[in-house]
Parts: sequence; C-alpha cells; structure tokens
Amino acid sequence: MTTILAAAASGLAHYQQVVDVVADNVANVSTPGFKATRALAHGAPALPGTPESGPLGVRLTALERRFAPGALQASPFATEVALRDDAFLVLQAPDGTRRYTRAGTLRFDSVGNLVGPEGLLTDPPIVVPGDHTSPSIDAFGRVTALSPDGETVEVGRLQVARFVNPSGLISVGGGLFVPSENAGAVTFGSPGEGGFAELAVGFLEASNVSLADELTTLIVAQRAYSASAQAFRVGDDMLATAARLTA
Amino acid sequence: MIRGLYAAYTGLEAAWRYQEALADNIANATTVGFKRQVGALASFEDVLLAQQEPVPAPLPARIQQIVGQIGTGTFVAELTTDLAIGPFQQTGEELDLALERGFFAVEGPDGTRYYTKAGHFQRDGEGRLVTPHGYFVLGADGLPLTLPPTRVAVEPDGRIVADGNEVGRLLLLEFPPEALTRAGPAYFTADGEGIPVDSGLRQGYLELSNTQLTEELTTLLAVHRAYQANQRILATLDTTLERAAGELGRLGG
Repeated sequence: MTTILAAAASGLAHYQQVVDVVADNVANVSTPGFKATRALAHGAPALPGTPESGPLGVRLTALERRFAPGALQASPFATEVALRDDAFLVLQAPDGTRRYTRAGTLRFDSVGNLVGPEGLLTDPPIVVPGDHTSPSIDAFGRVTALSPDGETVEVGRLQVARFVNPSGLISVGGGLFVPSENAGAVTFGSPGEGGFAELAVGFLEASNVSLADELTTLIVAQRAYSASAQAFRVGDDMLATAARLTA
Repeated sequence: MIRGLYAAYTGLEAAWRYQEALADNIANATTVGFKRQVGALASFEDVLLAQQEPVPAPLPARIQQIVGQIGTGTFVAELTTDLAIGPFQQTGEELDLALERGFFAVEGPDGTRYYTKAGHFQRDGEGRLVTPHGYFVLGADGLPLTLPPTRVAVEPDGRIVADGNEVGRLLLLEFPPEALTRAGPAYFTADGEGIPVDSGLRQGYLELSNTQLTEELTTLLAVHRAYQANQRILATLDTTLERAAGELGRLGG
C-alpha cells in the first residue's frame, strides 16, 4: 500500500542528491583542475519472471565525474603545469600510496621538494639540492636547476599516468584521486613520450564546470523535486482516505 | 448493493494503481531512457471488450473481471507504456549514446537480455562496455563489446571506430510495440529477435525521460479526486446497507 510513497520518496532522494552535486560543482567553478560530477537517474531492470512491470521510482543515482578537459589559463607561476591530454600527474601520500591529480599547482617548498596539491610530494620525489638555484620545469616534465658552478642539471622528471576508465577513479578531496577496481589498468610514462602529450608549463587547467549547465540542472531538479513532493502528499492523503474508507 | 461495494472497491484499486504509475513517472522525470506509463481511459463497452482478452501485465486479473461486469464507466482500464521519444540532451561524453530509432541490447548477470533506450554507458575495469548497473552492452554478434582504451567514435549506424579502424558494432534492433514487455523503468524484454535498424545513433547525447510533468501532475490530482469520490460512494453504500440491515427488518415501533 505504500508504493506511491516509496516511488515519490525515491524521486525526492534523487533530486536532493542532484542539488547537492550541483552545489559542489558550482562551489568549484574556479578550482584549477576540478572535474564536475553529474548525477544521472536510472531505473532498475525488473527481475525475470516477476509479473509486475518492474520496481517503481529511481533505483540508482549514478554519480559520474566528467573528465572532459577544462580550458587552459595562464598562471603567474612558472612551476605550474597543465596536462593537455587525459593523463594524470602522479603524487604520493605520506603513507607512500599514490594519488592522481589533474591540478598542476606544483611548487617548490622551503627545502626544495617539488610538491603538488595538499602539499603532497611528487612520485618519484623531486628534490632540488640546497646549493642549486632557479629550478624550472619544461614541457617534457624535466625539472632542472642551476648548480653552484653555473651548469643546468636535471634533478628529476615528472611522472604521468593514464587509466583505462578514468570514471572509476574515486575523489579523495583536494583534487586528488585514487583508483577503484573499475578504473582498470594504469599506464605510467613521461610527458611528451609514449603517447603522453607535452605539458603546458606556466598554465593551469581551469575547472570544467559550466555554470549554465549547472543552473539548468538545478532548475529542472527543483521542479521535479516539487512534483515528487506533490505526489508524496497525494499518496499520503490517499492512505488517510483508505484508513477511513467507510466514514 | 453488494455489487456496488465491489465497484467502488475496484475504482479505489485502479486509482491506486494509476497513482503508482504517475508517482513513478514523476520520480523518473529525468531518468535516462525512461518511458512513462499512461492510463488508457476506457468506456463501458471497451471494458467489456478488454475482458475477452488475456489480462495485460500490470493489472491483476480480478480488476478487469469486475470492472467489466459492473461498469465503473470511464476509468482507467489498463496502463500502457508510452514509447514516444524523449528529449535529447547534449553532453559531449564519449559513451553517451542516443538512438532515434531502435533499442540497445544489454545482458544482465543471469544472461537475460533486455532492450533499452538508456545509452548511458561506461567502460568497466576490463574495457567492456557496461551500463551503470554493470550489465554488458551487446555487439552485433550478440556478445559483450570490449572497447580499446583510446577514445572511440560511434557512427550513426552503430559502428565503433578507434584510430580509423572498426573495432566493433553495437547490436541495434527495432521491435513492433506489441512485442515489447516493460521490465523496469527504462528496460524491456521482447518476444522475437527484432529487426536490425538504421538507428540514427548520436554520440555525445543522452535520451532523457519522456515524462510530461504538467500532464502527470494534472492527472495525479484528477485521479486523487476520483479516489476520494469512490471512497464517498463506498461510505454511502455502507450507510445504506447499515440501514437495510438495522432498520428495515425491525418489527414494531
């Protein structure tokens, strides 16, 4: 008897989630390397042999990160880079596990370590020795610095990685991702080699959030939420009517 | 009068079924590939006629039998799926596919084959093309499709091309509407093999729900009133029966 309520409630839950996702996307409209998430509703196929026409309502809200590239924007920092293909920069967390990011906000810290978002070291770590100066990064990810005797020496090279299914990556905040089982095989490489594009040095990848899209999604979700709430009210009233059938 | 009670009861039951479908339509107002259910209003003759036919899927048999005999008149006799095409939304995503004609074929974990318009696919960890439920999308050979890791182009006829080479072809079939059985909000099972179709596939688009929100809400309110009206009839009949049982048979003053 509560089927109407359940169907309507599934709509309410879904549209609530859509609004949450839109809020997160809009909040990150100017976060470098940010990838918008979309929330798509899905119904479930009915199990074979059941006479009913299938489960009612929204059964699955598929949250999916859209890895479409954002626009490149010039950065005032010569150590910041943007990826021109679908690869990720490889960083390492303090516990030694890898993190992947599209945000090329790289900096040298006070002791010469090259660090990415959240202050994570690159993987492999790149350190500029204390007596070297003027560190820089080139389009192939090579990090060079001037030695005390005035020679340019390479101190390390950035590593990039590509996944079979980037949608299988899980966001762990700060623009960092870890792979799930669904991400599939990972290929490591260096920028400008073996199918990986060169880096755009001195640029950052802008957020790929489109405000117009988000606001359209928001308006549709609000209307559908109201409609689901209306269906819920009507279902509730019908239950009340059923409870006093002969009154 | 007892028959009237049953008529009112079937009216209540049918209204409830209809509201379930409307609430489902509304909740799925943006569900990918969703096909709404509509109630067919039937006149008295139509209801009698319908009773000769095998009972269609969503309604239990007793509703049709009794509605037919009593004739609650112009009320919902059966729910049918509206196969009208939904609006296309441009997403630009590689594996968002929309069909102008025909259906995708997908295979559930138990081997059941479903047909759907919901072309929202992704690669799994092994590069197979799957739905968000993890069902395999089938190729023209009837087997699950596996995609290369590089970006693919999907042609309007369902051919999948990577780096200039054809790497697979989607199984795209058309069915006569009567061969399809609703099996969930965006899924169908089918009798027969279907016929290959030039589907006019568009990559980077999704077909959204064909729910008509204004129409669903208007009908929701109308059916709500019909439900209340049936309840009033039931209450009135109950009072009348109470009189008959309690007062008519009483002797003396």
